[in-house]
Amino acid sequence: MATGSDAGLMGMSRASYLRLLGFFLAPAVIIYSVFSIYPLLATIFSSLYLRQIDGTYVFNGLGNFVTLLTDTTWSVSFWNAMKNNFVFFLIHMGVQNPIGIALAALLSLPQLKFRAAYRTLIFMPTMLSVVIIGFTWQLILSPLWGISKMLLQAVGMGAFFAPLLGQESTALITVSLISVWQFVGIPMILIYTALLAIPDELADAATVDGLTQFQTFFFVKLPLVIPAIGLVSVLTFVNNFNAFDLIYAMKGALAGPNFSSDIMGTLFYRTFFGNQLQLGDASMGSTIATMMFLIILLGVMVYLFVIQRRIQRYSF
Amino acid sequence: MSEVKIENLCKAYGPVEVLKNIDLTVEDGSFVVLVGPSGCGKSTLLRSIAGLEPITAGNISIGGRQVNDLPPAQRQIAMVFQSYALYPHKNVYDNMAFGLKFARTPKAEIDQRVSEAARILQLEHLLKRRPRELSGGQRQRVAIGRAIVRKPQVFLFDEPLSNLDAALRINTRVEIAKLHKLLKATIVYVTHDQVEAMTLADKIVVMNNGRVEQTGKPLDLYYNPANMFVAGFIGSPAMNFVAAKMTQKNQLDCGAGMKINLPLPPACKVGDKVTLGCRPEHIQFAAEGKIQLKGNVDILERLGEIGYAHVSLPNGQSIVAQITGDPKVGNGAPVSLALSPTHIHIFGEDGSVCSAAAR
Repeated sequence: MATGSDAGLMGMSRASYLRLLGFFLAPAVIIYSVFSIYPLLATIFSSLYLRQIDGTYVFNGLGNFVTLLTDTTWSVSFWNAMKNNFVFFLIHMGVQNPIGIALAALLSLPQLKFRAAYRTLIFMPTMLSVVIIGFTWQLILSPLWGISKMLLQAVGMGAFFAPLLGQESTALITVSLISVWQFVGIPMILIYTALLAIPDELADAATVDGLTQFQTFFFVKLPLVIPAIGLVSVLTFVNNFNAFDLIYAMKGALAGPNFSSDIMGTLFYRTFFGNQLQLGDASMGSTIATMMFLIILLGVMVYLFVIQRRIQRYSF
Repeated sequence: MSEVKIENLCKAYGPVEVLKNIDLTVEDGSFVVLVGPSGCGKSTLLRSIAGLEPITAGNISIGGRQVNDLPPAQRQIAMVFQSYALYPHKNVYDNMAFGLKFARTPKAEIDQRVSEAARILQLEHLLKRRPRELSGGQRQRVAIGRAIVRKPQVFLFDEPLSNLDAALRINTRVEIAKLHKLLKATIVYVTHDQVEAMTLADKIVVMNNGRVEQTGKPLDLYYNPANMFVAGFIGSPAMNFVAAKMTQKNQLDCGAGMKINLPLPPACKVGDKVTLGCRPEHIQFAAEGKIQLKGNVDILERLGEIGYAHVSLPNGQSIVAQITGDPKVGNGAPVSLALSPTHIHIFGEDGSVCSAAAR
């Protein structure tokens, strides 16, 4: 570390010390600036302008945000997308993560056979393209020639079949569950790794204390993997509020029926790039993008400053 | 009565036999130490007693009750683990009370038992701390406390001192010995450290390769080892072994012209290959004495009160002699060694002892 004005690192002159600093810092600074910081600032900047009829832009302060949140032309879609996005997130938190934890617990059972096979199979959908997943599930659920209909009929439960992707009441939940199915491998692997780090002697001690395997998991191991569960939760939050691709692949940019599966990502896409008769509006699109950024920022900050500080980390 | 009786115990992982026909009785209130090199099966034997490892064949009974098929919690045992295995998310009190809560012990009794254990182990001021806020020695005491509150018939210790530094290890060793006296508990204790075994045990069980090599009181094993393995394992530095051949009645030829006249046990015949064993503390620098060996000093290790001389014999073998004082010999100097005739052990070709040396 350079101290004073003359001393550099190991007798280097101040100028060559700074050159050395620059040499090591430059790649990261340049890449982050060009691909992350500049686009972010440009988006926020762009959200402060209003698009005129003639295609020019004038400064509008926070006017776009007021329009987005209060003018019914925009706010109905915005609040609908916001609500849907929270439903999307809550289904992931309520279904994907508990199943991921349960699968991790099962995978770490000492007497389990074919462990690697299960791990790979459950993780497989995560590695597939979202487009393939979306297309496959559309085929499975198709009311015309979908295999799900035939399977239900084969076991005499044909009456329970419904066009799950085509009903307003079920489309969002169905798409969410497909996303859960695809990504359940990620919480599973992260929590499984955390469970492996817990020494066997701790489970032995619990066994001697009279706990069953289930109780050992619930009262000894689960409290110790809470940091991993917190990490999984914040990752889920960020991914869910950035989600776009599965809805777009399965329901298109209109996120139908009647916007019932519309989330922030699809709303942003339609607004920014335009869709069918809707013209693209870069400044309004940027406004939505900035809102998404703020929501995610808020969520991550709550995690970092409120939740993570209360989580105890353990070394074994 | 909390006697542990093990009969004909076998344990195999597939084709690999890790415990072979173990028979062992741990008398009520006694301190039994299982000792042996790593991989000898001593920890597996302890875990089998605890019920953490299923056994392949044989019988284990605790307090006259067969426990083969009982889960650990119902065997009335308590175990202290090498890494202590304290629950990191619970404070000292809850660590000790955890098992009792699951056994539906009344709250008042839990309180009473935990504070009793805390008093014995001087943990009273630490009850609200988490394990990571404790030193190694304190964690060790909490682990012992967790065992005490269970009021077990048998305490099982799995190398409990190996995570402590040298000074603390000696202190804790003494603490455990006192605790054994205080609680009058039956203890089975696993270690690879023969000093721990010698100092703590009422009875030592020396294990090797899944078998019990010898069982006995510490000094019995020291003075009358049943075979070369026990002779070499107990005592530090290890016993010296010199290969020899019986050429005439009561005479051993150690090669390179070294002949020893010694009354040999009747079991030895002329022509037998034997091994002569003698501990370093029973060999002196001396020109007179009935049993003499000559050699050259390789290295002299001076520890202060005593020292060890590494002497190479003319037949190429090297032996260690304990020296007292400060003999003025340099490296390479020729010396005469006198072996105490009453402390010589003769082992047959199969390694078992032919004659127990008289004390």
